[in-house]
Amino acid sequence: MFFVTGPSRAILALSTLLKAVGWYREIHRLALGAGIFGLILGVWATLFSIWGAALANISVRDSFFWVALITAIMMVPSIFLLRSPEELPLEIDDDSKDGDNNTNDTSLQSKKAGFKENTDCPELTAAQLSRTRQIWIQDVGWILVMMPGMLFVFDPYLSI
Amino acid sequence: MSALFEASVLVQSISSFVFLITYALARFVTGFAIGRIIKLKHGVWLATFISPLMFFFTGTIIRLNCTSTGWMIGFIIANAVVAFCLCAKKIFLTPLALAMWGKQNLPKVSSRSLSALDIASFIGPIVMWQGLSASGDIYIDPMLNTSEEQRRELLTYSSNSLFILGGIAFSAFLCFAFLIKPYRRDPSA
Repeated sequence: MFFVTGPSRAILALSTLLKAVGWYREIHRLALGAGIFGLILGVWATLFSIWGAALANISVRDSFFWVALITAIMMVPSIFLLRSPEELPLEIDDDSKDGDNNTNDTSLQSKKAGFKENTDCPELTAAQLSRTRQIWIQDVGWILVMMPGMLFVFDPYLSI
Repeated sequence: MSALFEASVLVQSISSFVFLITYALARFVTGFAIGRIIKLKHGVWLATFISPLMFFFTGTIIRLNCTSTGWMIGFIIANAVVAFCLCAKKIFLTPLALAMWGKQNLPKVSSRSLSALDIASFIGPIVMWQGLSASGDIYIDPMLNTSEEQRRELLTYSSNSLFILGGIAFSAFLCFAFLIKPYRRDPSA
């Protein structure tokens, strides 16, 4: 069961995350999109872990059915509504196209977003990407970032 | 918590809730703050720098056998800060991919970064269980750790674990502060 649900959830999460950040990138607040996406996942986990079972007074076995039902109800509309900005371009207010508020001004965009997109990097294939040293450094960096969290959360002596 | 501070079930529940709600809210706060209050790179540096400090702090209070109620509250707050930083780092994933590799490579880099998180979640528990099996004659249930030697062993194991976590977290800070830079194609390639 986990072999089926794991990859399907990973695909759904990644595609939803990329859509969310894609939309918020249109208003130069990409990090906010990632934050809201994460918040929803976090609140869902928090509420369900604390109150879900208590409110419904259900067994662990039944909780799987409840999770499946709630997830399905929440996911089905997204199958039909999920669009990327390329599919459904955002209408930009005409005023913002002129003067100081020009949304094409990259320095203003960078300031609003909090970082500068790397526009110098060409599109790389997965193989080309794997041949760069930088991506491996970044991968190791992410492993190092999350490893303490994983150790900490799962350690029965330290976890809260 | 129960093993180290002999915390009641209520205190454990409250601290779990604090940890989880901080974890959830940190995502939104981080997303909101990037660009508005703090730059992405400064946010990454801050989150990766504070985490090891908190691990070293908690490791030290356990090593010094500071297990009073006040120190327990300090431990819970430090845990909440760790939760905040952990979560903030997850939010940095896509903006950082965009800043380092551009929009054209965002899906590929994001999926690699998420895979790296998966590898961490796979390696983490294995390392942790190896550590537990080497920790000797101590138990999760505090009632079973009756002898002074068991108590001392528990404190040593827990503080050493936290110092190791701090070391790993600090190496992550060094990696993100000095090694991870926007990709530039080598002109000679």
